[in-house]
Amino acid sequence: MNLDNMFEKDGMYFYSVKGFASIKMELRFTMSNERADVIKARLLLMYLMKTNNKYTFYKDIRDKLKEFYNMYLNIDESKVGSKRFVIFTVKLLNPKLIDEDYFEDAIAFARDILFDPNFRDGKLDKDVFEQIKKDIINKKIINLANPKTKAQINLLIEALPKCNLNKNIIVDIEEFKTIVESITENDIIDFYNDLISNSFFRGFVFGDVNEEEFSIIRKYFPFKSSVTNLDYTDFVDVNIGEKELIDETIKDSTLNVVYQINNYSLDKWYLYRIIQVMLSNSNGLCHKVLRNERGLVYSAGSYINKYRFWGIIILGASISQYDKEKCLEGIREIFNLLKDEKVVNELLSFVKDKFNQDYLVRDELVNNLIDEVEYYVFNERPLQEKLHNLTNSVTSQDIINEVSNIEEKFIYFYKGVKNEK
Amino acid sequence: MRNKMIKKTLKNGVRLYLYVDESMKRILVNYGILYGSSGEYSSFYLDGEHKHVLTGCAHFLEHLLLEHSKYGNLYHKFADRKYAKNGGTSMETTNYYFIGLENIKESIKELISAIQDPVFTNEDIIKSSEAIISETRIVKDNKFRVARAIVDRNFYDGLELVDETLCFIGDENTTKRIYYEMLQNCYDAFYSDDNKVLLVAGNFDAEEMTCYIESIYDELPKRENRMKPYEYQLGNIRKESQIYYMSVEDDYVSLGIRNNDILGFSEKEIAFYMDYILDSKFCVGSDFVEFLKKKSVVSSDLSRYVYTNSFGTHIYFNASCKDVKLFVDSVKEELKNENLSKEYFELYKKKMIANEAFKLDYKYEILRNFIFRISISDDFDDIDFIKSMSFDRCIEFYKTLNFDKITVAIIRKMDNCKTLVLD
Repeated sequence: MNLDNMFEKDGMYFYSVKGFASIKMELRFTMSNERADVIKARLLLMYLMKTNNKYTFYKDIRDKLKEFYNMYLNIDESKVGSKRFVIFTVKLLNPKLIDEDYFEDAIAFARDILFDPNFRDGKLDKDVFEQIKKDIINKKIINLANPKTKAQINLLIEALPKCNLNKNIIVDIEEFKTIVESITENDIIDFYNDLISNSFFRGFVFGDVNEEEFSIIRKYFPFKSSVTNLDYTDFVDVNIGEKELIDETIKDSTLNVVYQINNYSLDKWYLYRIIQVMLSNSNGLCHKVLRNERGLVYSAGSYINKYRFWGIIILGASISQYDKEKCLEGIREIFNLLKDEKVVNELLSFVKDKFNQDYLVRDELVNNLIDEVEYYVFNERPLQEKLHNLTNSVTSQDIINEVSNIEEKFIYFYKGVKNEK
Repeated sequence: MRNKMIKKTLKNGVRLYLYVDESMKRILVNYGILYGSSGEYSSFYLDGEHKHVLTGCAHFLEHLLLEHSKYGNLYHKFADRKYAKNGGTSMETTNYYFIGLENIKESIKELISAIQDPVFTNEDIIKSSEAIISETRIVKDNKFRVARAIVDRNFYDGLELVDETLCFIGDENTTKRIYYEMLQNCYDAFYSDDNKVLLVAGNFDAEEMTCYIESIYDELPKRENRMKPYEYQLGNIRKESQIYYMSVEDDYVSLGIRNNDILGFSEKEIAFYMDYILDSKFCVGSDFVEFLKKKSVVSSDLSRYVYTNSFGTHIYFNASCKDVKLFVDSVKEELKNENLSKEYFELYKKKMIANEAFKLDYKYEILRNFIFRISISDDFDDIDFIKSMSFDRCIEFYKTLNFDKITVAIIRKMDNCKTLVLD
């Protein structure tokens, strides 16, 4: 990413780059992490996309999106560390590719969706509101019946009870229904007004867009950011213990081992990124030990998600119900190998080469560039160039030292015992 | 951007596609065999002799040929070179790809040689089966894939598109029943040179690349076509409905409709017109879907897709249902409802043109999946084709369809569906 291509005004960043078909705009608004607010947000977002003051029926909105060459418009909510955002996204096909100048009309339509909701006479459309309440409850019921989702939710509840994300997990469908049904039309309107008037954080526009087109966006979305940099810190303690659940509806079992990184620091993200690749790449230790050497899995890997789980590594493997102990032994061996200088040296050399290759081609893919603009604008991660330099300075001793801070805390086995015979 | 695909046939019959693009820093190589997991490939004649094999063989070969090649595990070797790489088996194709920066010529040679000159043994078969068995467990826990398998199994009385395992890649028992000679027969029957497609994409000289690839094949054994397809007597629907028990709340339904008599339309046209018809009637937010949700016939949106093979075109609708019979009857009725509009057809064309134009940003992903879609389109983009589509021809197409050959898979909540907690 070349910072010379970027300028900022009132919290809106503009990154102009040629050669891509996609033009993307993203606006972020801060919101609370409270359980009821999260559900209010989801209902509001569904409502905004279903009906509008100018486009009463969903099919009017759908047809308009197609008219603007499959324009993508979405309003979603998402958690980043301790913070939660409402994210408004617009994705357009570069009009220059098809010689049709619909840019301003499309942006004006996006503006209508966000700023001109169907709140006629201070009320929501009753039918739409009831239907989206029904839809959100049905979706929850379907999700909770999915064993893979159930396994993930139980893992979070059992291993990470203090995690911010858990505040919003509802496993009791009756409780969920009660909250949804208690939300009134006024709650939604109040939530919307607060969002639009007080909560804008930042936004960006990416793509083959010139200054004149940027002015058009500013004309229709005249937000001014009043929020300074955010602290996403969200440290949580992992429970110590072990849990086993038996599910008679599935054949496959999942073993997760949750590790805590003691003395976790976001400044060392580049180190954790290296450890992640050492564990998870198809040349990584999980595959090497669990699949190639022991034949226990089809797939296994780790995730170190700095924003969902602060300072936590989860190793997961899809295994047979009979292989828990063998797999656990393999996972422990993996961590021992990460303390062996010879092994770490070899892996580190591979990882550095891989990151160096990725760095060479980083501007080739649109999503790489958009991600980088996003990380920069929302202060989520250092720029690629800095990460690249930091990564190349890492020694195998740095990795071994960091691994000594990683502590096994929770073992979670979701055991599928379905027998079709 | 437009249609840069160079198409050639090599001396041995392999179809070669070259996509030359100066903006690509890496090279993508995608090698495909027009042979997949569909049960249509489980019976065939090899050198005149009838063979019957398990449907998991195509997927097994996909693992075996690269995991146990004369270069060792070629996936590992490619990973050492920091490539993105994988193999995949669909109903109709098997493919192997890598995307990388360095040692490309060497890797092309190794990939072609591993496929052209296999060296796997009985011991290798046992080793590969471990990961495959693990993979089958994952597939069998997926309600979408099981429902699709049931529909495919029941489409034809005389052809098992999927076998009794209800899993495209088989299960633990069938995987253990696959042996060397069975795999060798499949290889000899389907890995013939005229059944192979090779795509190379990136910034290179097309002539030089063609010569290089020809020179690789010159040093390898030729694979003649020794296979004659088995002629299936398709018959009626095998079963009109089948229930399978898994962990769901409402019934999860897959409704399959088969059409075997669409004449006078290319596969590309069928794919386009069919998708328009389904999008027009069943997309999220359509009057029909909203009506079903309002009346609590379904508790989710409908997903739908189309699969065409040499026997016909198959439409699938999936949804979580509270009333299966009403769902099936309503979909049938809506399909027969002549409510297609020219205005929406033009909007739909704009959407499809945009999808083609967006390919510019996702070249690697598009080209990685090129082989899977090759029977429908072997071009990079189809903008000109889409522009040529007409509403009148679409109506003509719609009139050829019939919606009476139906089979339904119902995934129903297991009676003993419970989760026991052991502290």
